[in-house]
Amino acid sequence: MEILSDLSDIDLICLVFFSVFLPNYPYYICSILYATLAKISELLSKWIPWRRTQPKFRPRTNNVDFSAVGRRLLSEHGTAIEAEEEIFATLALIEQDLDDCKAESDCVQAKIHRLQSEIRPLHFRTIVLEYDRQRLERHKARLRSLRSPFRRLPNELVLLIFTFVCDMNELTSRKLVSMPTLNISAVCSRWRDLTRSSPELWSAIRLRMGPAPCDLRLLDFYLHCSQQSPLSLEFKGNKLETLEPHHLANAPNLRSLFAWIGDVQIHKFPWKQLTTLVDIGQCDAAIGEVLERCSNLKELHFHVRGGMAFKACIPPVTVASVEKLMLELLQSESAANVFLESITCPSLNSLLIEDRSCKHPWPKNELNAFLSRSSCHLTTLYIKSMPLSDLDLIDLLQRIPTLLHLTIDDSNVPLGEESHNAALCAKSVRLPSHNLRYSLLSSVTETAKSLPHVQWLSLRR
Amino acid sequence: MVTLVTSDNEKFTADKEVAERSVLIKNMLEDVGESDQPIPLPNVSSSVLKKVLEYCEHHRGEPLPAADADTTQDDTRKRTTDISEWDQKFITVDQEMLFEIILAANYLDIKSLLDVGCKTVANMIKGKTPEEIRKLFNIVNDFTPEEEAQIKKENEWAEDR
Repeated sequence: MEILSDLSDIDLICLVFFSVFLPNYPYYICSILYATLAKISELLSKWIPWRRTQPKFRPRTNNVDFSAVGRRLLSEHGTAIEAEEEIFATLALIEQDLDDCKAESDCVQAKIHRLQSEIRPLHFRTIVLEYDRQRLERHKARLRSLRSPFRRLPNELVLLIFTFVCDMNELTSRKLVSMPTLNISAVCSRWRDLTRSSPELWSAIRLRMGPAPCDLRLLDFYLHCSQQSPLSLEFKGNKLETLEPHHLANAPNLRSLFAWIGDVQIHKFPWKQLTTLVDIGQCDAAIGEVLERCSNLKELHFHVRGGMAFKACIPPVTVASVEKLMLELLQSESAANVFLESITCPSLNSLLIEDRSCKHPWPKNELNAFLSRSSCHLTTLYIKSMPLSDLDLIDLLQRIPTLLHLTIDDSNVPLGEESHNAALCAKSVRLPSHNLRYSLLSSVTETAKSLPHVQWLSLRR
Repeated sequence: MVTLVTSDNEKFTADKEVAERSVLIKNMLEDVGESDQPIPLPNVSSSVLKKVLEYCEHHRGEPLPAADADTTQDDTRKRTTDISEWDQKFITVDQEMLFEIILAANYLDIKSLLDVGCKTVANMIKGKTPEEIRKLFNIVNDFTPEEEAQIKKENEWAEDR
């Protein structure tokens, strides 16, 4: 646009004319036409003041020595005055210069006025163009968004992705990205509608309560959005009582609790609602009392850390409804024994024991006593990082004829431990009675023969 | 061996055991019985089916999930977004292909592949702000000014809003 504004009218006329009518004419013909039109334009410009765009005023009196005139004014008096004709002639030239000067000044003023009147619509035009630009950018973004691969997913698949995204919401983090459900509900209206209409996405909540007071209004919001969906509450810190009774009254669907049981006010907590309980490190009379109250508990996860005091509940507490038990040990040598001595689980069908420190001795006697006492129909057994010898394994398997799924992973156990299972060298083995895929070494095969129902066997070391 | 015909009319042959990791194909084979008839897959292109068969081949012999598995909401919640090393490498594809694989896994009813795809997308979303997510997936912010104000109010406490 700047280049165009620098061109004269005749340049623009020629440009348009040659482009439209004479696009293929030789250059010299165009040059002659251009020169002719330029001459006509120059002649016209003399008669139309506003067309005189170039400075024209050249004072005729440029060569007059005005300082000499000044000196003459000081020296010429009376008879000394001479050459009046010369003065008249110079005066006439100055008059003509003044006329020309005024004419060009009027012309420039007229042009300024004309340009100002052109600037206003041009300024308005820039506003319109900017509006159009923004509108086109939005349109472009929307069109590109229509082609987005994500749009091809139906709602049920988007919700499946959201389920993975919203696995936990840390409500005390003060960071939006740590509260994925709230975060993704701010992406677009489709995602917002989907998250708001899916209560289960709002029902995995983690609270880390520190010594400072905590604003729990966000918890109320999540509880409101989770509606009737079973609630999972992971609580870390020592102020679980902060939630009572107001928040728990808003959580009639609380089903899972991850907490340090010893800090919960036992009599006020709705234990009966729970189907999953993850305790992060306590085993004494208090846990016994809690388990007695959890009459609907299906899953019990027990995370044992070092430095904790453990005391067996005698007699053992019967947790009749528990079907799945996970024992996760860390730097504690007696916790598994104490825990297995403390409970009886007659409905148990799945047992997982993992020693993260790889230091815990295999609790052979306690586990055998637990299985015998519980008289349960165990179908799934997962043992990880426990120093389990072949003989102990065979002994254990013979006690569980109902077993369907067996996984033993001692890949983390240091070599040379007493537990070294020379026989267990297969990496991952499927062993249904009708579908033996890999040949096993004799002892395991013999053991497997005593497990007529085993469908899945995975051995790693 | 089973012959599969893609939407772009390309024919693939695969071991029955590999093809039957797709519940859809398994059910079709059970319905038609022993037959050499090719199975048409009008919703899957050849480039996508090639990837799907690569996945099924690698995971052949592994137990298939029970039909009623993962139906409870509690189970759904306990899912993690961990993906095995091989699966991670397998699913490292461009966004277009990733979503095509997810759609194909859903159509063919291969739950484990569907999970791998959805977990991958979930991992792409995790830890990102709404604006970063929009940019990543070419999603337009189509909220009304009123909704924008409501969202701003909901998130006013957040340090990273």
